[in-house]
Amino acid sequence: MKDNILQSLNLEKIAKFRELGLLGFIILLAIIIQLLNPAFLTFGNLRDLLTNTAILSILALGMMLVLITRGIDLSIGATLALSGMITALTVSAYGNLHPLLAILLGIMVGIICGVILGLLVSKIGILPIIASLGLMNVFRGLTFWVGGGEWVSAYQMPPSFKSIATSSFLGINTLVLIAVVIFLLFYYFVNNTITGRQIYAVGSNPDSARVSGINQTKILILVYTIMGGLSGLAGVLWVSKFASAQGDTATGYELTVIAACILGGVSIAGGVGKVTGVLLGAILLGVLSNGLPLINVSPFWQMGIEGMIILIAVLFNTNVKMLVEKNNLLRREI
Amino acid sequence: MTEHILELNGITKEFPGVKALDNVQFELKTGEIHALMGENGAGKSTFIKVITGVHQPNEGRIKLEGEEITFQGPKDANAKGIAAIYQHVTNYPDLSITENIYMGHEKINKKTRMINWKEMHQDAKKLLESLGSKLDPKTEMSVLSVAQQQIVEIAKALSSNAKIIIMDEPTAALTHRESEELYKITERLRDEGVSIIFISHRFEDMYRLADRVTVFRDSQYIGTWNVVDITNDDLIVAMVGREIKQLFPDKTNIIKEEVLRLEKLGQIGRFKDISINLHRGEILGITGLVGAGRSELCQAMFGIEPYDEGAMYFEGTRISIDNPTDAIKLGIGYLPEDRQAQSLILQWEIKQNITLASLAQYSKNGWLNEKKEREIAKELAEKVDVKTNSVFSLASSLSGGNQQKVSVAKLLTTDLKVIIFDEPTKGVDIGAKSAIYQIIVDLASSGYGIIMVSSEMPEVLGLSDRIAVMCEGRLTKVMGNEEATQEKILEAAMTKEMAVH
Repeated sequence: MKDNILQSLNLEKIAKFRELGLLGFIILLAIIIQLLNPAFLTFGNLRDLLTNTAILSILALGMMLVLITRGIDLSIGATLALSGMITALTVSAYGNLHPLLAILLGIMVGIICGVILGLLVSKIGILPIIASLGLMNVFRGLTFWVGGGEWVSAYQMPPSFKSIATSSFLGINTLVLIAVVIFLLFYYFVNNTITGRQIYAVGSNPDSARVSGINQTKILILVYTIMGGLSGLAGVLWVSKFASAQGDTATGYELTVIAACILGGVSIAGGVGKVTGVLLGAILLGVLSNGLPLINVSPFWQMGIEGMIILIAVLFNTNVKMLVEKNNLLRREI
Repeated sequence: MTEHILELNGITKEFPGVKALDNVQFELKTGEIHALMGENGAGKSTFIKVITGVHQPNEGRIKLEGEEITFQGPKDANAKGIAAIYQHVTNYPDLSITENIYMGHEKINKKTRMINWKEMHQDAKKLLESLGSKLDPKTEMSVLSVAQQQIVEIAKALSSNAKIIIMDEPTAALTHRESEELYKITERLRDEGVSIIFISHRFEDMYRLADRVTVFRDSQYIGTWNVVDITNDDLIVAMVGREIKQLFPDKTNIIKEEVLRLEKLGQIGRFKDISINLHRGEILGITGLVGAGRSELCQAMFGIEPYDEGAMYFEGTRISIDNPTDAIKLGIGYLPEDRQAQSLILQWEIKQNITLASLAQYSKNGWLNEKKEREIAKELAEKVDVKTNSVFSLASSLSGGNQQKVSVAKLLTTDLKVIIFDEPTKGVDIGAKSAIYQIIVDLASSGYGIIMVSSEMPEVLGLSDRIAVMCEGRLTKVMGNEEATQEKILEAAMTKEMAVH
């Protein structure tokens, strides 16, 4: 009986299984929090939760691509801050700038940051963790420099800009809507396009990808550019939402984003990751950071709990993966 | 005290599906240099691993100094004074010579439990000097030449009081002068009473050094001779004298016009002056010993590591290939030697592996048409006869031979004119071998130009229309199949002087 279950396992099914498990865990957590504090499942709080998770999930999707190619991007928090600061300064100087143009400006800043990182990683061959660590400091420094060390506060921003985060379309908050659109785009991009398949190939086996004629330089530049563009977009949304642009905006946020990816089943070793998993990972972190304060868990405990959950998820992943690999070897006819 | 320091009798070692050693025997006299020879895959490496305790034999006895013993692991063998030096030096490049020599048996100050660096450096220096080397033991390993690293390896063996030293192709990466140094050191060790097993493909090593020679072939023991008593020809016959059975398909390919030509192709430090051509419908076998530069040549032709000098002509026009994408666009395909590491993505489905190199064919504006992809993958998997339940199975669930077939199917998706096979049957069983041979002949018959790199001589002789032999980065002989014999190939593979132009 046990053998039969093992026989039917493969990584694809495991991925589905762990996603269902993650979903179940999120629901269980929501029920517990709701029982302890009925304020959790209210319209206002859920809206807060979703708008907070929106930015995290946008970044996590980009990070997923980077991680799949065996890379990592530590500079996204700084890119986000830089893009947010430049956009905030621009709209405070030109009050009648259309919000769409502000968003475009932010994305452009992010793309430039991403292309620089992509070139360093793919053309020059600097390890992603080193290159992005260096750029993280460069971008953070630039943010302070362009802001002159000052904040851009709510009163300096025109209402049209602040309304990007607060407005809604067809009854759905704009932030959430943007996140949903990006999720759908990603879903089709990674599953149904040549480039999507090639990204996975480069991460799964770089040698094989090369022998198969895949241009790795192009793929690497692409994933870091996408990551940069999404960070730029997130920067505009962040500043609009909190109505404040600061030099230290989103410091350390890159680690939260990476955590969401890992919870969602993305492998740091590359080649593995699904958009649905990453979305669930982001939602789980969103529920924790929204729900734990509601049931009076101290912020210190909250960090500890988040960390424990990440470790448990990884432990689960590693064990199941070993089981599957062993099973594959057993099935192999020698 | 017996005459033989080491005696092995009736050693059999089986791996799942393969008998790597079949009732093998071996005797090593105290203070002799004993050469062990045989083709690639004859069982020498497995045999060495039995002596050094890496593998435990299924049957047979090992006697060390007259006493029967069993080794549980390499540590056991090491403690009994058996040390091995491998062709690919296995060391810690970022550590010093001293640290490398004493790795695992560092000298510890008994009172303080700290490493006694001063004593270790001094002893390392003494050891190196006893081998005639003036190296500073504090030098980092990575700055040394291969020859110097080998001396350190020998010092390491001596530091653990080795009585038997096994050298596995130590001269493969050395120049002539460096080899001569190594010969002298080896002789000095013998004179001091160390017994040495010397594995080499080079006849000159054997004649220069060995007292006796033992030959293995096809996992079996063939014989032991005194080196002075055996001629070169007899030795070659002993090494390769197997009959080629009907393993190869009838050749139906017809050789047509030239498709590829290399003129004085060279890559710094790897190969030089390679001029040869390939015709449509032709199977060109490239052979030589391991390290002769065959794979490097193929990888240069495919753009993995571009060549530095010379020119390539494809269908009469001069081309430049900087990366595999260029090569595939022109119509050159490559099947890597290590299919697990270089060709397949094992955790992917068979289908996705087959289509990876040709995704553009199943898509419109970058959008994949999975139905079409699945159909073509299925068709090709059937064409090369991959034994599997479905194309959705993971590549990792296949046997080696079937993985190789998937790699071939992957090549067939693109519009190729030339296919380079690098060791196409390495590590696959005899049934799959014969199937892969059939595929190769079929491909040639349908007009592909085939380059097949192989170390297995029967395969080269059984399939090739022409045979090119390489030795130490040079092309030493090109001959038609009719005139080729195993002896001629072996001779050309071992002698560098007779370079052809």
